[in-house]
Amino acid sequence: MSTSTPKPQPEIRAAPRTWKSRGRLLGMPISVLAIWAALYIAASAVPALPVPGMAGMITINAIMTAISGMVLGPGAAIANAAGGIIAMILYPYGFSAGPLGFLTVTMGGLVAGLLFANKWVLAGILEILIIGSWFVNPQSWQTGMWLVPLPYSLIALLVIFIKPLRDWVRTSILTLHKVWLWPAVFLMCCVGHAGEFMMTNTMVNWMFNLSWQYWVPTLPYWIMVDTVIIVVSTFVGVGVLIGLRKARLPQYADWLEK
Amino acid sequence: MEPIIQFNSVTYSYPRTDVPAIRDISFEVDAGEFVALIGPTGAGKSTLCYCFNGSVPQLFSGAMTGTVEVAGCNTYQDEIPVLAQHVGLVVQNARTQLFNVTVLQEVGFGCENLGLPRNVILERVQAALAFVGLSGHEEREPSALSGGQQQRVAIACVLAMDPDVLVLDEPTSELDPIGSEQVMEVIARMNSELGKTIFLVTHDMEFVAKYATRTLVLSDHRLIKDGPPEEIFSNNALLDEARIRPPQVCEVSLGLRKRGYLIPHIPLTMNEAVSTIKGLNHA
Amino acid sequence: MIGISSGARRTPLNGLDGRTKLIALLTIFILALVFSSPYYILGLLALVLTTWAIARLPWKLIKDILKFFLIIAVIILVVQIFFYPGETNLFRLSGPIGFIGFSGYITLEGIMFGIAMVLRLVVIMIVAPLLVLTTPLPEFMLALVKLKVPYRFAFIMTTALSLLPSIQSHSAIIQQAQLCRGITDFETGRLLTKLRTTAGLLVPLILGTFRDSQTLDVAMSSRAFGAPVKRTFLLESHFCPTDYIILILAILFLLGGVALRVLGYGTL
Repeated sequence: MSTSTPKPQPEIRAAPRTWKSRGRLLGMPISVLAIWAALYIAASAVPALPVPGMAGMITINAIMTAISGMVLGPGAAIANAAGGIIAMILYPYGFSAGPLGFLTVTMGGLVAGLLFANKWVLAGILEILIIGSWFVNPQSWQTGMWLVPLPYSLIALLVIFIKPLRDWVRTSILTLHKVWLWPAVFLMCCVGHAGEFMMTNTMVNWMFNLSWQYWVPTLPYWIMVDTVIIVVSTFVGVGVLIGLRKARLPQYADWLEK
Repeated sequence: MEPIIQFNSVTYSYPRTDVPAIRDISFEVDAGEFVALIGPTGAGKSTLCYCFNGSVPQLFSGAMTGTVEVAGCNTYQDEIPVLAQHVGLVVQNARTQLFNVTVLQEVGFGCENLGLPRNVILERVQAALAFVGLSGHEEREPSALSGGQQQRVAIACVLAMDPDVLVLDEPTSELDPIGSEQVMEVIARMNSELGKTIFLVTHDMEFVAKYATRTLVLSDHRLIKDGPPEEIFSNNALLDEARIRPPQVCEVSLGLRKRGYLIPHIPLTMNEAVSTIKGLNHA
Repeated sequence: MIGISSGARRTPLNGLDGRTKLIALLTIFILALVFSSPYYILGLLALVLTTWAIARLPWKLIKDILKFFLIIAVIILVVQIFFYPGETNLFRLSGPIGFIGFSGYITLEGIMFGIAMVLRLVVIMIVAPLLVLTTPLPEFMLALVKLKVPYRFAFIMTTALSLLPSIQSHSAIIQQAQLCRGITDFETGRLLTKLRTTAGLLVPLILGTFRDSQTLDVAMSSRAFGAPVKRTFLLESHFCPTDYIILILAILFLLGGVALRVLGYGTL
């Protein structure tokens, strides 16, 4: 390659762009959101784990939801919702809550996305609302029902509200720290996944009135399923984050540099 | 007459890279010209295409110096939707640039965004589809079309917005010979019948030799040559430097010249080549 | 599973405005949640099935959808029959089993409530396909836009759907590549291995598809996406008399249903 550099010239700043904001939603290019939504639909076609009782199965879109916040920020909510609406019609077996199933994946993406964009107050309010809506149902005051939201929602609350932990998670992910990236992505996946599954639990509980005799005995299984999903999501999330940074997508760069 | 395209020492690097994707590019194109851009993969051809409608630098952040003016618009000052009415850009991958559910919606998409009245849009869509030879396919799904048809739909999409300049980035790279031929024929007719200025990036040297009035050669992110196709294809050193394989007719003549035959003028078409070689026999 | 893509089927419901169908769907969905009496929900189910018949949709589709919900239906039924706090004891099964909260009696209310919940599940699960199979996607999108859903959101939905085939072929290519390297447990293999290979498939798929976003972005903006003018829509939709009738009926149903519920009807 030729080594001579071009003549130095003043760099010209582009005029403000009104259309650019129109091409974006919550800071993400619409093209990226559409592509995520398409991936989301594709992932909803792949069953991963059977679910005792709950409608159908858990598909690998659970992984997509868990990592969406880190990849897209708050825009994840929009991409997940758009993908979710179509996916639940094409592949209904992955959605326990029927026509409102897309709300669950929206919530997962929204809470994690807001947290990742450092809008932790909003993320916290949403997380509390999600957990709160579980306890609003009188069913949830039966024996042992308080255990259901506990495992991962508790971690989510801790990550959202403890400042040093929150900052450490965000910086480790943003700087792609060699070692701390893994636990940080794990915690972020906990937030994303907790948002989704608590919303699902709440809605299923409201719609079908399942009592503690269903929830409590199946709890160990749920914890196992959630752990598996979060662990797999961590692997996928780390791979995707590193890969995206290496790919240097020009229109995606703005978001990463923030 | 004012040239319709003016590149004035344009240098651009993508965000978070130090190496410019294109360096110090300057050239001018007059209205109605048919310009072909050739060069090896990775030379920055696609990036150069993105400069025409302001995608570089408006859509992709990164550092750009120099100016680009197309049809009286400045790609810094004028926003992409404004530029889109003057420059039609067909990107390389036909499949991702078709994202509507029917061909009708696809071709009408640009005009819909411009807020044109409905009947005007329908007229333009019909005209554009007729021009690319796809009338009657309005209700089909773009993803169900063949590669060549998809590429022609992509051309119809920008044609419907009635731009002055059409920039096409390797429109035939993924097509079979028949599909390529049909697409190239449409491109040539846009130049000859509609008088559009064409800026075409391609690896199809036969086509360059056949239709282009002018050829630019991009190598290592720089413009290394600007001239008529016959001049480019008869310059052995240049072809080697830019790793370009000339059309087979030129290759034959260049080979003959290397062996000591006197060929003053390198032929570009089969007929020319036949008469040149026949001339050799007589001599 | 259910092929929607662009051209849902041509059915008698195609003539209706997308908005009408969307509102009717929401009405049925809300009413299914409002009522908890099996008779009322059975009425809703009859309404949905009649519409299904009018639309001439294949019955097999209902079977296909419900197949996935068989287990939950059984569980819902069992949980309610055994544990619903009913009063009318039908027969005694055993002594009270305190630690699982079973009274020892099977109650009428428990059975009724169990049936009601299963019927609710069925209604909820088949009502959405009913809308989508009778509404081509562009019309659905237009309906959303006319109901004040932002155009950009509707755009994301249609674009996602039209990008789906290329993503699925992309994923098939990656699977082929992984098969060549001896990774064979997409279908067979234990659960954990399966998940591991899935992860190995997702990363290249996501990254590869994200690369396309650049082309998509350029293609969208080259076609004036986001131009600061009011967008035209090629598709038009107008309410026809049937639309008004259905809309009025839907609203009456909704108000009537809620009123009944407030008055104490429609529950157990």
